[in-house]
Amino acid sequence: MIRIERLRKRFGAQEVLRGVSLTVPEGRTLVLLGPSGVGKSVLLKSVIGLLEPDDGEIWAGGVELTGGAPSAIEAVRRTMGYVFQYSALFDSLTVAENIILGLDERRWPPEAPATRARLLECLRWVNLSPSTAPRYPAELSGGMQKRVAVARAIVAEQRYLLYDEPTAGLDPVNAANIAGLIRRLQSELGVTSMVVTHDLDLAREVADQVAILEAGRIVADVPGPALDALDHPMLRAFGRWPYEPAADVV
Amino acid sequence: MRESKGLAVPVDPLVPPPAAGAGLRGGGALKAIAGVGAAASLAWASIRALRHPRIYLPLTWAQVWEIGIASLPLVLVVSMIAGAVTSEQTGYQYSSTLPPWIVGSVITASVVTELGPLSTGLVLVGRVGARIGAELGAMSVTEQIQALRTVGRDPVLYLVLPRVLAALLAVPALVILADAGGMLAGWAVALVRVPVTTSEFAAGARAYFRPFVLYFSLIKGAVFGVSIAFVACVAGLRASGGAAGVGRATTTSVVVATVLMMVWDLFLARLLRVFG
Repeated sequence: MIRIERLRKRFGAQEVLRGVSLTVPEGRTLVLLGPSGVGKSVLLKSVIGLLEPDDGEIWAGGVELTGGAPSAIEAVRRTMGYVFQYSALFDSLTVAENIILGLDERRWPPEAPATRARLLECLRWVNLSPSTAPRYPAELSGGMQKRVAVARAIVAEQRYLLYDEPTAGLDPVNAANIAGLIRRLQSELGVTSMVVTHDLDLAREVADQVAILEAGRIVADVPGPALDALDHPMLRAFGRWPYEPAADVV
Repeated sequence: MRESKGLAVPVDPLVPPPAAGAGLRGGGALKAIAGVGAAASLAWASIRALRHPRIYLPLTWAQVWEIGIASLPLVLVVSMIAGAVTSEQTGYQYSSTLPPWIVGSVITASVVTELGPLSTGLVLVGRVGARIGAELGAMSVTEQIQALRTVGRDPVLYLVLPRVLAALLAVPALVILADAGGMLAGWAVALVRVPVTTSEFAAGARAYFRPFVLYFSLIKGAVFGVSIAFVACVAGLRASGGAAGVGRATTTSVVVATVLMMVWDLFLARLLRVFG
């Protein structure tokens, strides 16, 4: 379970998070919706430790990440994977090197058969063929890069996955593939996920729970199926609201 | 729970400053202070990271190739031109009033104590400093640095320390070769243009040369090399704001490293006078 209590984060004069509280139950997926610039990524980066919150608490797996014992925090953080908005793959490394970088090389030497097997398993998980392994990120499409980023995030059998705009910049087919992948990782691996997005289709596909972040505060926190019944100005502003399946088919 | 620290300016070298409009707008002095703070923080993190040689040493050798071997041709060309120009100027100014062998002393003094290290440093500012600043800057703005942290890798260990240590090892070696190249070119030009014989040139060189001069040249090379690599790492890691941010990081790497190198040069010249 991930639990966030009264989280605050300020950059200079601008207070981005103003007392955010959220709970993601074990093995469930929370989708955090909100327009650009409201602090969704800041929240996600605070959870994984890339940013230090000014105030508040973050708990994961029963450990307080904002003030617990450093060794316990490190142990929990090793079980977290992060998928960046633009994949953030290392240009100078191959797909294989990018993925196994997430493994502890003392336990998983790069040339060991077990490491190779783990790499191939991860590639299978994200529907990439083994022939992708020696290629460089620049040789891949955006959708493939995103899947490599997911493979990197799960290679060490992470229990928590944090996705930052996982469908940003993808065409509808690739976006649907990523949504299916997020759902499959949750159902088959049992990971606890937080997905930051403003893609309502993705939210409908993967959310067990939906929260809306606006002006640094959570203004709605509802079960996933209740998303279509939610009437919020921000959702209307996305221009796709109310949801009309028939129109989508056309 | 942590209380708010109320820091307006992040000093973590791996956390880029907030984007324009997020708190530091128009605060040039604040940015400069933040930069110094980040540099101090990165220096301390680098020192602490020294206890993991198993990780950074293999990466350091790769950087020695990039910084040292790959820079050698350009360093030699520039230092030889500098030596030749010095010889030409010395011959023009001194040959009519002083004994010819003094050309050997002047060229040795100029090249070994000043031109060799400085020309090497200036070449490396452009070739290595700009490259490191742009490379790490691009990694910062595309979140690769943050990605490295999310997979449990310390960017200081994997990116900063190998580059700084490689510069510490490679630049003094380059300076020695630049000294030799500059002396050789200076001698060749002196033979034709002063004119001076080889034995006169060698006598002049021996009259000036002491081991300390060579050590001094090596010290300068090490200080310049570390400064160039470290400044570029700080600038690159603090880059933010897309392509423009990478451009700013590259410019900062070159400008700050050049100025810092000249300040070190001034300080070390004093050292030469005191101990030499």
